[in-house]
Amino acid sequence: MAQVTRRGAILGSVAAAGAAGLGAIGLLAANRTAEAQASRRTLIERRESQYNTIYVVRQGTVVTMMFGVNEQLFSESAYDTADPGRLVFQYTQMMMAGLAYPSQPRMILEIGLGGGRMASYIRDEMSDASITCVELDPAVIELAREHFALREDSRLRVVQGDGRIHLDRNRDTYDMIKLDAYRGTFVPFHLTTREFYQLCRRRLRTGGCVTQNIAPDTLLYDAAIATMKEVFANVDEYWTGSSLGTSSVIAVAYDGPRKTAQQLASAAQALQTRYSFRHALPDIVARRREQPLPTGGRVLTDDFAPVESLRAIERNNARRQ
Amino acid sequence: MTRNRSILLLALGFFIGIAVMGLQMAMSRPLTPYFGSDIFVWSSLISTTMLSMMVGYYLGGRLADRYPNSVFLGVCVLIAAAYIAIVPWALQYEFLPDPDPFFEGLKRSVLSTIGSETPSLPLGAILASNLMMFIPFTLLSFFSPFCIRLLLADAEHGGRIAGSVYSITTFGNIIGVLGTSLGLMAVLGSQHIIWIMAGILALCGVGLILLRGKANVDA
Repeated sequence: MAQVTRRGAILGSVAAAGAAGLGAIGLLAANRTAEAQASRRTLIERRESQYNTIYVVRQGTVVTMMFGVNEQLFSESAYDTADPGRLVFQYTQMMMAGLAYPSQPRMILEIGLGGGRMASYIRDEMSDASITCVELDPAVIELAREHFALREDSRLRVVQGDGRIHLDRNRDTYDMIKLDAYRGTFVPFHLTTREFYQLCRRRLRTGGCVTQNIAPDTLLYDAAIATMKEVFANVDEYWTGSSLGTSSVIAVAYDGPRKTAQQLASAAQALQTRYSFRHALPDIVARRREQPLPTGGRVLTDDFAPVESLRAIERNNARRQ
Repeated sequence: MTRNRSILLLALGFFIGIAVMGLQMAMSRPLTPYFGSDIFVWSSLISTTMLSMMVGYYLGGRLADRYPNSVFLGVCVLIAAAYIAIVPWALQYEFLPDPDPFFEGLKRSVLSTIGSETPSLPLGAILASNLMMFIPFTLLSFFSPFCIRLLLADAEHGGRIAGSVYSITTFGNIIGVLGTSLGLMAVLGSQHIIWIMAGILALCGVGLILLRGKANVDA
């Protein structure tokens, strides 16, 4: 569900919440410059669910869903009320890269709904595609309906439940499985393991792919790449920024021979012609990284996936540059 | 029982306490892939432990009156250790590693089959928890009533003996919960933790047998 914001943005968000009477969160004093900015943000709703403390904040025309985790706020989803078709966060635009991998992207599964903007984008832009969204937190689903214009219909279904359990209990197959099940920086361990990706792979149609948003700032990133590589023949990477320290990473995992840049470009162009995507797909796939993937990450398994301790170790960004 | 043997008996209770709660923490991991990380996974683990204690205290109390010696108790603890070493592993054993979707039905471990086939997930989690824990935890719950029966010398000191037994085993529980969740789970896989706890229990079982403790007072 989430974009993990950089630390400065996190503090700014906390200041925003503080201005709305939530100063108890506590980091307010840490960032005085953010206070001025905070006056322009308003808190629309704060909801404590079984899983999260969820904030819906409006700034100008943009409504943002944030989760409060360990005294920090993380942006999960954003919706521009003045321009509903726009994917506000760059990483959400980039997650569409996965659409260019299957021969025909028709059946899509999304694990982690957030505000549901990516799912709405797919439904609205692709007239013959269907997307099923699995979201654990019922409050997130309610807030997405109330504040993020999530409308369900025959081509956009929302299921409340655990993503892995849903895959395990349903034999439906998909052209793309989109993974974005974050709560702040936290990913449930059972959505990180080799066995989980093997389950995803069994639920993919021929030529299908898994597209995942990964926060690259801790050792969990190396582990995620290592685990995906263990299960799939190929893992392609897309970075939102020029360096890992300023990027979100989108990983696309698939079987068969590695797609050439030419193949991706022509597939993306064909889809672009067919659907006239708001965010041009050829431009997105052109940003695939051709550099080698990180090596040496730990393969996570159901038996041993120490996500908490991996997450606690800051990754040395210099190592890859 | 001599004073030294009594202290040794209580020390074994401390280690059994560690193992019980360490196991409860570690068992959450094999359940999560098939039942999720929802609160009911924890409630099923906790309720299974409580159910085992309910049955184990009652049965253990009656058995302690009938066989007031540490050898009987040691054998029970050994059986529990063997069950824990084998059964959770067997329930997770996958018959085919990563098969075609066509063979998926064959591949499933018992645990994953319970997860995907039971009509209600919480019910499945309760069933799985009980399969993994009920029998050994019931046997391990024999410890407290046996220990009290063995240490009891006269009615005058019954209160402090019962109090010491509950206190020392509960102290073990605390170490087991914290040590496993904060220490072991960061460095070891859940199956290895389960085997370590089974090893601790096996040593306790052997210790209880070697102790050859007899009740201080006859019926």
